[in-house]
Amino acid sequence: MKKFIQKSFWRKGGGEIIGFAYILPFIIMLLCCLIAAAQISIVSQRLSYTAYNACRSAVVSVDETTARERGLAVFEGVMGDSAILVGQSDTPYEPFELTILDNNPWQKGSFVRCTVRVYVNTLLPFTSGVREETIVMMIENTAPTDFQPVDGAD
Amino acid sequence: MRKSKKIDWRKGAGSVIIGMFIVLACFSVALIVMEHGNLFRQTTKTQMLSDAIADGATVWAQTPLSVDEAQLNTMAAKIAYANQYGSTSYSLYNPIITEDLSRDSFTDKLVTVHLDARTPLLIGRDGYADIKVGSQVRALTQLPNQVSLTDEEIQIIASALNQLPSDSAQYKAIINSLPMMGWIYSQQYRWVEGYRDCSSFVITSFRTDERNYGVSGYSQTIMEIARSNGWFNAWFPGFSSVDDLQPGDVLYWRGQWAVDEGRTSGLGHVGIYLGDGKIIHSSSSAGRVVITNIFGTSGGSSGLIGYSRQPI
Repeated sequence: MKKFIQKSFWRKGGGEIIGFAYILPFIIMLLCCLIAAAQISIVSQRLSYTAYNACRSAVVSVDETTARERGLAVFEGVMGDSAILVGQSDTPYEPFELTILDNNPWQKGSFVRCTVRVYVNTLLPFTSGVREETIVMMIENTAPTDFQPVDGAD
Repeated sequence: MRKSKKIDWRKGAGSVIIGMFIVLACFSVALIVMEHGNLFRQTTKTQMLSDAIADGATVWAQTPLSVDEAQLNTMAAKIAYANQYGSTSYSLYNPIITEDLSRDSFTDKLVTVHLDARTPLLIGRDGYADIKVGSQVRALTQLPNQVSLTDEEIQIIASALNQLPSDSAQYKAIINSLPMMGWIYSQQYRWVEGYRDCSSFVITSFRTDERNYGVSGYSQTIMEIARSNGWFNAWFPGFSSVDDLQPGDVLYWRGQWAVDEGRTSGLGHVGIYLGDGKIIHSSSSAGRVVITNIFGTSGGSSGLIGYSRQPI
C-alpha cells in the first residue's frame, strides 16, 4: 500500500494533490457563496409573497387594529411554512409593521405601507441577518364574508 | 529572451490552473444564480404589485352603476408611484383597459392593468432589466338596494295583493319580494344582501311563511318541495293559459343550458307571478331583480313547464 501511494502521488505528479489542496478552500468558499445566494433568493421571494398576502388581508379589514392582527396572523402563517431558514435574532425587531401614510384615518382610499421582517440564517454568517420587504396598498375596507358558495345553480 | 516555462502536467503543475478554472466557473455560476434570483424576485414583486393596483384602483373607482375609468387611472398611478423604491421604477400602460363582460353587461366589467418595471441588474454597471406584467380583475358594480317602482309596477303589485288574503303565503311573498327590487343577479353572492339569483330570490320571498320552499337550495329544491306538497301543476302548451295563473304562483321555465346539463325537466329558471301577465324575478339577462312581462322572460310562456301554488 505504501509503495502504491509513493508510486502514485510522490513519484508521478505528486504536485497535483498539493495544488488541489491549495485551491480547495477557495472552491469550498465559492460553493458556500453559491448556496448562500440561493438561500437569500428563496427567502426574498418568500418575503415578497408574505408581504403581499399580509398587506392584502390588512387592507380589507374594517379597522386598523383588526388590520394589524390579520396581517400578523397571515405573516406567521405564511412564514411558518418556510421556517427552515428563519432564525432567532439577538436584537429585537417588529416582524409586521403597518403604517397609514400621510396620517390619514383608516378609510377607503388611504394608503398603508406594510413591512415584513424576518431574521434569515444562511450558510455564511456575514450574509445572515434581518431582511425586510415593503409594499404599499390602498385601503379597501371590508369584503363580504357571509356568502355561501354555490355549485352552478341558476 | 527568457524562455517561457512549460507546464509539466505529469508533475501536477496543471492542477493549480485547473483549480483556477473551477473557481472561475463557480464564481460565474454564483453570479448567474444571484442575478436570476434578483430578476425572478423582481418579476414576482411586480406581478404582485400589478394585482394590488388592479384590486385597489378598481375598488376605488367603482360607482353604484359602473366603473369610473378616470378615477381608476388616477388611483392606479398613485399606487404605482407609492411603491417606487430604490432604483426600481414602475410605469403603467395607459389607458387601463375596461371591457364589458357579455353576460351581465352593466354589472360586470373586466379591468386589465399592464405594469412595467425597470430594475437594476446586479451584474454590469448601469444595466437595467425591463419587466412587463399584467393583471385582470372583475369589477362587480352594485346598484342601489332599492329601486323606486314605476306607477305601472305599483298598480300591478296593488292589484296582485288585492286578489290575495293577507295571511296567505303568496301575499307575504310578494310583500317580501319588494325590498329586493333592483338587487343584483349573482350566483356567487346569492345569499348576500343586495344580491340574489332566481332561486334564492324565490326562496327568500316565501321564507317567512310556514308554507315555504325551504330556507336554502336551488330551483330543483323548490320544484321538489312543490311536488312533494302537491302544489305543482304542469304546464301544457296549447292547452294551458295565463288565465290559469294566480298572483303569487311560482313559475318554472325550461332552459337549454339546464337541458344540456341533464337537469330534471330541464328546469333552468323560476319566478313569481304577479298577475296581468307580469312576473317578478331575478333575471340573469337584466342582471337584477325586475318586473317583466311573462312572455319576455327566458323561454317565454312556451318555455314554461309548470307552476306551483300553496293552498290559501
